[in-house]
Amino acid sequence: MQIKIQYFAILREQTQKSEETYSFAGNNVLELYGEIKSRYQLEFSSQSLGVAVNDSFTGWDTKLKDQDSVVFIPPVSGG
Amino acid sequence: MFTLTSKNIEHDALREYMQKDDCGGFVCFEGWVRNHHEGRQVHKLEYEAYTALAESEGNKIIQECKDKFGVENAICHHRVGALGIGGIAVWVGVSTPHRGEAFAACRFIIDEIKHRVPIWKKEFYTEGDASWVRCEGCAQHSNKHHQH
Repeated sequence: MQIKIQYFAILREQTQKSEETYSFAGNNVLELYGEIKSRYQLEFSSQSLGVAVNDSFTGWDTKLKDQDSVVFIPPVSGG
Repeated sequence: MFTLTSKNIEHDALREYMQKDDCGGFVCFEGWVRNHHEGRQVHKLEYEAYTALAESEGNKIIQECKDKFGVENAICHHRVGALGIGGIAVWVGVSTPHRGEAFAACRFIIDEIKHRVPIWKKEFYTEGDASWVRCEGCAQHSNKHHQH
């Protein structure tokens, strides 16, 4: 399946991408992050990130389907 | 209403907007850019937002505030982009018939926004380097809050 991934802030800098379309043969967002973490050698564990699918916060066990949009959310610092 | 903006926050206009004939009190919080953080000299900040989710989560917080404290007039404007020292990064205003709920509601909004809304702050130091500020514990807070 094709998954659109957007990157923000420190993850945008570490991946050197704002977004990409990623071919994913796995099941859920945790598996997807495992692949992305390995691919870009990211420092964050999944426990230290939030995750959103199709612009809504969700859990790491959320199953993905073709054309879903995913954002891994580093620790926020607004205000 | 929660609003992201790349323009300067016009606090006088916002205060005027919050004036209501049935309100006897108004509490405002302004978050300013300060010139230091953890012992380092800061000369500017940049804010970046995941706009779609920041706006929906920010508006969810405002609605939670209205339900929790029974207030009708509560707004927050948050900057994105670059700000110099003294710039207003966030503005929260609550006007109510009596002062008690205005203080509580304003505190609730800024605290929840800092923990939950996907906005990130990058600090630029006078030595020339820069780093993303991490609110330790916020991701865990976010996960706990959103995993039902």
